[in-house]
Amino acid sequence: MNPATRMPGWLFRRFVVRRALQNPVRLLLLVCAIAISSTLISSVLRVSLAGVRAFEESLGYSAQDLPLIVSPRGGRFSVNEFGRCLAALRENFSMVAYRREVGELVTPSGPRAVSVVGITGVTDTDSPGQRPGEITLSDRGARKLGVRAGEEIHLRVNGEPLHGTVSTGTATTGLSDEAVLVPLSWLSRGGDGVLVDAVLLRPEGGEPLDEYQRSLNAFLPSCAVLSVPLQVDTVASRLARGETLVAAYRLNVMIMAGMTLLVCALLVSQATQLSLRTISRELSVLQTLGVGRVACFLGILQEAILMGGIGAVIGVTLGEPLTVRLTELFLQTAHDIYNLDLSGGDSAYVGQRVVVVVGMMLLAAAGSALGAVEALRVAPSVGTRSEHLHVKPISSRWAHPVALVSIGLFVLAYGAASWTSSTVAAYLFVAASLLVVAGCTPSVLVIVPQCLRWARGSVLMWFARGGIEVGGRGFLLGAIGAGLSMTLICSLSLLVGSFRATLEKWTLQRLQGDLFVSAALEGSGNDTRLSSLLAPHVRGIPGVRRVIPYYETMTTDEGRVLVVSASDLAAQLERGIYIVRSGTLERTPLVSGTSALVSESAARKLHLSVGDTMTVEGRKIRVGAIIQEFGTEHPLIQIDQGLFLELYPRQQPKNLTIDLKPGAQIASVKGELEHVVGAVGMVRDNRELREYALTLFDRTFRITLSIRWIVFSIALLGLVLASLQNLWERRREIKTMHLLGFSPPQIVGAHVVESTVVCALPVAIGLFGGVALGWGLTAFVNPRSFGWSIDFSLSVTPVVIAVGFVVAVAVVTLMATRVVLKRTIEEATLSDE
Amino acid sequence: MDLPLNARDLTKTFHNGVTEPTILRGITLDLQRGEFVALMGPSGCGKSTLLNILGLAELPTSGEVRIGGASTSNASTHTLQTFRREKLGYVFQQFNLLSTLTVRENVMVPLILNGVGVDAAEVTADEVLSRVGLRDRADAMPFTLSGGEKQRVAIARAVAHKPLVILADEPTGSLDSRTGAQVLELLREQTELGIAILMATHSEAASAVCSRTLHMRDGMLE
Repeated sequence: MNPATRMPGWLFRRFVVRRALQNPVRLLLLVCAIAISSTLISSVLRVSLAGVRAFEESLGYSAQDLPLIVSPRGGRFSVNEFGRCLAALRENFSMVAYRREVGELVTPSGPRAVSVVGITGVTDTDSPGQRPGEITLSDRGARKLGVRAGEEIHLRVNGEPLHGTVSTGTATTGLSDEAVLVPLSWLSRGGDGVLVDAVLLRPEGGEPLDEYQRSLNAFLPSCAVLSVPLQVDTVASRLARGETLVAAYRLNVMIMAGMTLLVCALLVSQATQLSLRTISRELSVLQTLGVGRVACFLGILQEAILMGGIGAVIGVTLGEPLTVRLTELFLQTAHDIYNLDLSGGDSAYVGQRVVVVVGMMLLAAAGSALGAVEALRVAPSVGTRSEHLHVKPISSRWAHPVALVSIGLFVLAYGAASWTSSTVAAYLFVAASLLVVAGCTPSVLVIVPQCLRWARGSVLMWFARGGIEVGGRGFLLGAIGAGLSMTLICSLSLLVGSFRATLEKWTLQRLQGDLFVSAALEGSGNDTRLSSLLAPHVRGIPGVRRVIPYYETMTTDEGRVLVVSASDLAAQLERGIYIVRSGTLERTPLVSGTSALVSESAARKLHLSVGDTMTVEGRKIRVGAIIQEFGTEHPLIQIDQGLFLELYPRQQPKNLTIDLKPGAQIASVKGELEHVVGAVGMVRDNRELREYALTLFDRTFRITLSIRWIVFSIALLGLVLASLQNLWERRREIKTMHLLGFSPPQIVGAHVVESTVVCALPVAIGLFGGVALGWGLTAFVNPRSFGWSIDFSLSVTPVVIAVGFVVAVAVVTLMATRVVLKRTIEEATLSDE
Repeated sequence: MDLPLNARDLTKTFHNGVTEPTILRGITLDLQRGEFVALMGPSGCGKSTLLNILGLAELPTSGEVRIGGASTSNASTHTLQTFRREKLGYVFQQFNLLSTLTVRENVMVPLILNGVGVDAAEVTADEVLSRVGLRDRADAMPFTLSGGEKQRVAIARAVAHKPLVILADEPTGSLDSRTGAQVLELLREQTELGIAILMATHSEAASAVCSRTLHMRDGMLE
């Protein structure tokens, strides 16, 4: 570059820095946008780290220390038998065995149900130095149960009294807060040969883990000492529950955060353009004086990056409280619904925070640089012409081809998603939906004004039409941002709404009956069961017509988790509780145990279709029908209880559904039931249960819906900024309108109508895009990611949000125009200075 | 018959917090129907301030402006707005077309503001555009026009509603001499319709087209 065409750096910096300081509103807008975006990014990182942390601490042991888990195919197994098997292998293993029982903690206010976990060994990280007489609780559990370290407490398990001194340790993720750890020997006093639920193993040799797992799974069936068949899984696979939860949240939040980042970058770019327009005349004069165009751009770039950087630091700092709040919301939800303690990981989070700040600075700088490109459009001019600064029509030469290409890609993505069952194709459809919104926006901004020309309309409409026609490129970034945001908001609303409506319908059909009895404690695996003696007792209660037990156990099918459930299928078929997605409900094969009902998730993940045969515990069972199932995200099959008890003879019911006789009083039967069930079970009115299911759903999606408003705010900020930019550049026109005799309300009205139409167009595009994306999420993404299908339903919510969006922009424009108009009238002159 | 524009003893003093400079000192002038008057003077003599006051964009410190015989003193904001809309037309150095409206719509705006129906306004706008030679550009957007064309549209807009007076501030200031001459001729033609024009200019050539020239110095007419 010729040095003669460059401006001294110090002079240019002084010029741009002073300009920046003269425009605090721009800095404020940048800060707001970046603060909101950084909040989302921080939340994603925080949640991701919490998920990682959950795996590290889950179930009170480290998966790294004890990475394999041995469990029976139903019921319990003898740890002694297993030990003898291992001895035959002549391998060295570190081992911890555990067994869970439902017990009672004796408190001054009465007995309280707790999960008592008997555990062996000292390698467990959560119970270091476990000694006889010591009862270990997590810090959180101790607080919740109201006991302190060193205090002596009394437990009762299976009628046996236990007592010891409380010791508190780190959080035991995966166990409920009400879980207490005791030596395994305490629970095997009944002379049952030390039956346990599971054994955790760490091979001491150098072979890869999967080799050990394979060889153990091959060896154990041949071990004649074992009286119960055992299976070996990795701990990580057993933690799939937490993984699914975190993955679902992460995906949700990542998509929204990514979109918000994109919108934020567009917004930052828009802010830079706004600043640039105010000095375009000066830049033109500088070029006339001999400063090169590229030098001008580089100078502006420095300023833009500086502003973006400052905005990022302040924004990230201000966004911290919101991040904390969102994170708390997530952790609480995880705890409330899944009993997962995802707290911790803060030290790692601090390190990630630096990444967030740097990332946001880069984002802001990139957005600013994009806006600074506008400086390259400024040409040297001897005159001081500033008319039509805002004239930036969109060229149909590129707008229509871009739209056609994006539509073409959308159609291709739709085809790929429809013709294949690939998850990648489903996500490509999501990307194509967003692309088509962004790609079609310029074209629509070209076409609509041309169409409006056919309708003569009023003067106000002329301004609206002309505003889009003439200034389209000026607010294009904001319009695309608003369109994408509305797409996201609309699709999420429709997805969540459809899911909720489907779930509501499912609960109404599936959770029929009057009363429901479940184990007192929520948990995982085989630990929460009702006594098999309970059902006959319940049947004897006056008013009870029918008691239907439900069984469930978790097993594996070629390494995949499979939930095998059972019920009295004859009764359930009579009650008509199943929503069939494929196949028919044929009573005879189902009740006889030759066929099973398979959840959509199982059909998809295990590649099963109606008529296929699957093997469960060596028994071949035909897939009778595929049913809708929201009880678990794991693959589930349901068989008749007769077959189930044949396969898993030691299993006990997980819950009971109770139908009452006509005229029976629910409240009085419930009272009787509670008396019979005692502390080990919970009795719920089935109506309450249905409501509870929906409450859980609402709580789960609380974060999604909260983040929706953040996206809304950013998009609103973008369009308001575009509107203010437009207004700022057209102060001269306001003056002209005033002199021509437009009344103030007419002037304000013209700008409000223009802004409203400009806002309504991308929002309308976004609504259409949102419906397409929402449909795609329910039709392609949801079944392929989670395995269940959702009935897509439209709702008025997105339209209400869209209208609110447009109204909000109109109101802000109204207020801003009034301020500008007042100042313009005060300064109104015929001259051009 | 009432004069289109009549000003008596206009003074204007600004308050800038430090000094109180007097820009206009007892200006009195009359404009007859169809008269084309040039207002000349060096920069800073008060031409633009006078134009602003006569155009009812600013209020004088003292004195009176009468439009078509009606006094504008003590008039409400709404009344001043009505005067501007019905009785006055403006032509600016930088054209000041409404950039989001087409050429035809720009010309239609004053008519519609004065209550003319859209159909009638369109017919009138097309007639006026024919007079200024831009009928074929009626659907164009202003940013596609040349400087001369923009000023012809501005003149069409200024005369469309048949005002009593047109106030023009350096209407040829941004144009080359040939285009400037065409614009001046166009303005002169409007005086044949009875419209009075007061034009602030630095150009001797422009003033030569006018029927009368007023010279201004230090806030006073010479």
